[in-house]
Amino acid sequence: MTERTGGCLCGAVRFTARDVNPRFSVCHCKMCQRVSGGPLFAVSAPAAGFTLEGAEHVRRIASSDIAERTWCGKCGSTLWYRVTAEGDAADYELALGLFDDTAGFEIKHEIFIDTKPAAYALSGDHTRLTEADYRATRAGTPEGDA
Amino acid sequence: MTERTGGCLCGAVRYTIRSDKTDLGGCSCEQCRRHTGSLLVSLDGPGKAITFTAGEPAIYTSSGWAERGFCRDCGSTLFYRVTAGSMAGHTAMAAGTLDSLEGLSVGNEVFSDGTGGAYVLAGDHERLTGAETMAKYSGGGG
Repeated sequence: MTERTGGCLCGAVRFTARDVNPRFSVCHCKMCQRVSGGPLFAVSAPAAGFTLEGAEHVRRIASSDIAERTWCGKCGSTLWYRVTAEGDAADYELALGLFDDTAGFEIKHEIFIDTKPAAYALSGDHTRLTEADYRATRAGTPEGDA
Repeated sequence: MTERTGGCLCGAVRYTIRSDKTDLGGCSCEQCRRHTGSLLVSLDGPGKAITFTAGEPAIYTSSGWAERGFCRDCGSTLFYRVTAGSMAGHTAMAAGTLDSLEGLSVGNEVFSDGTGGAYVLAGDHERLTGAETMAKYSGGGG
């Protein structure tokens, strides 16, 4: 069982996550760009194995009807994206940068590649999906542009 | 002088940055990776080049010489700003908050190994590891 710890820049919010998927998703939709300040690197972790310290510092916004984004109210660190439409069982899509040890992670795929700015790109031969490709594989889950 | 506009996800904070720079900086130091959740890709300029046209960012003092700005209503990562020394006021605006990144590209990267090789920014730009960054700037981060 892979257990990993992480937290925000100021340390007010800390978490432990079990069964973390070491293959993370990169999202280039404009919502993710604005929230993280660039690409979103999202690490999936099941809700069942997720524990949080400093929950009182977690701020959240319903960024659409289906999902929320959270951050630390003290330092502003991007915390996670979560599909609220899936209820309490929804995976946490944790920002990669929060993990204390980032060794062993690799890119699974990039999504919304058609809205990625030409200004930067990530190396590798992983899968790259357009918004339409991604919506076809997981209907309804991504929020998309705003 | 080119004027670019940007803002957070919810639109509470809006800004303009006046700059003819086309190079973006990339930073994967531990502070930037924790704050952004990925890495800081930014268009930087002196403080006077940046004007907040709506709202006021929340500020977190991340060290004795720097602070980080974010939107208190939606959490969007907005900037890294130097607060001490000869570069005081210099601000690196998170590129993802720009309305358009047209004409911009990554020109240099520091702390390139800060996420243990989980990703590599493509291109032949100047790329310094954490050790190389510290040796060159004898400081940095924050």
